[in-house]
Amino acid sequence: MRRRIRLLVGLYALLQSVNRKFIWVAVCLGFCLPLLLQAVLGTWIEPSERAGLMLANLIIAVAMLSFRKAGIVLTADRLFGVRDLLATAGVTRNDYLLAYLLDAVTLSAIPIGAALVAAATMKVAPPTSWAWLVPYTVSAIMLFAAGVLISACVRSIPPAVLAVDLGLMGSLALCPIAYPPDRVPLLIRPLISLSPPTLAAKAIGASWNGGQVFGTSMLLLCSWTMLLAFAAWQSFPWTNDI
Amino acid sequence: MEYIRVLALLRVYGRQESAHIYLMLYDSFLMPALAAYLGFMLFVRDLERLRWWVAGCVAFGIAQGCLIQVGSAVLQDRFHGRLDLLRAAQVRPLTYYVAHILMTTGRALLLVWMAMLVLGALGVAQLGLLGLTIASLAAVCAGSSVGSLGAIIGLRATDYDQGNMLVAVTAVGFALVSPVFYALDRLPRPLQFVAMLSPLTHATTLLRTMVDGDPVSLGTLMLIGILAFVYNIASYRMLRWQG
Repeated sequence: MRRRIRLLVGLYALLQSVNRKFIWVAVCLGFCLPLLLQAVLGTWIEPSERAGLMLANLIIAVAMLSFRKAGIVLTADRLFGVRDLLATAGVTRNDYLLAYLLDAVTLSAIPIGAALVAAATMKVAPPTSWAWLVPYTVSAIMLFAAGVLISACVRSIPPAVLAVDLGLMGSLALCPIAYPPDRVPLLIRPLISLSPPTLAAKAIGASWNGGQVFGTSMLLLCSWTMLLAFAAWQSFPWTNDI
Repeated sequence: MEYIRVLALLRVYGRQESAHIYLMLYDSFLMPALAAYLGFMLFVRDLERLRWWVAGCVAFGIAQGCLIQVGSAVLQDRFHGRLDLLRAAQVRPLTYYVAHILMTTGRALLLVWMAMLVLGALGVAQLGLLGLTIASLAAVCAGSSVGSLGAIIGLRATDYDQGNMLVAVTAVGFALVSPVFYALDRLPRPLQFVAMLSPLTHATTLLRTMVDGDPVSLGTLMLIGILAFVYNIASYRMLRWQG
């Protein structure tokens, strides 16, 4: 057990040293991009819709750092032999995925700063309590699991890039994250209202405004998270036979 | 002789692109289309703002598609050994450069024509032959300038991973810093001058003029032409300088 914890801590430290090397990318994607999008798009929409836009930027930023990163980096690890190297060092699939999950949760702290700066500068009501961090963290875990699932399903990097980018852009355009839900076409509304990005936006938005944290949206979001995590854990290939 | 070499290189890069055709389709068509849909949802019932937004989406697609295409191709050539192979085959830098720029302008043209076709079909804008020609000219200038910027990044990168990351970050950053999705006068004055050096600024202005059916400003047309020339010369000089 002690050896496993040491391995996990070592792997997490390794990921953090890589993060330090590319910290400017994480800051660009997690901090500057949401603020830039808020500044650019905030001038176009009604002031009453700015809170929704801020949440959309927050979700997109955290998706960049958990969903997109997991989808691409885990595929690269598998293709370039890092996973096999770690397996020979005694790292198990659970350790590996757990270390990456902790890394994703650590990185998801960056967009929180951007959201608070955006709330202060764009005259959006600040959060009534820190309870909104609960659905936010669950969303980060769910997005990470979705990224792992994509990585498990693809065989090379280009499809992984396409899948995560399509997922991100599709979520922003098709799901009512940045705009009110009543604008979604009636035909696809039932489908969209149960999609993970919509539920994440609903749950974070409700708790940001002081509403109930553990409502229906949160329950559905947790269900999606467990489903995606289980599917990712089951399908993520590991080299047990080395 | 050089013409045949350019054609051969175009065939090579065409094959490379078609191996990942879905990525090209996403960058050039699906992503701008999704951005346009997002605009439609944000500014529902406001046709004026929607037109404005769609022209911005086209410019955004040019920035993404052209910069990433040339940047990635040059990086692959440099770090996967193809550049040495071309050098050994005595391919001149100009031939190599022209092949890349032709590929990228082709993509920009396709993107603009598709956008105009969709806008025409939706009845949002009707472009005549002159309008289509000027929109194409704007696409050629913006596509080649943005492509040359991708080539500069590809040529200056110290390793493949760093280059790829720089290309991706620059593509998004360049499009967002240029006043593509907002008016130029919203930028602080020193940044307005910097934005004037971006070909995307003028391409977006020209596209918006075309979509609105307003008369074209010759000054903007000349400015984007000059910028395309300067960007391409700088990029080509760097290619030659790197031997």
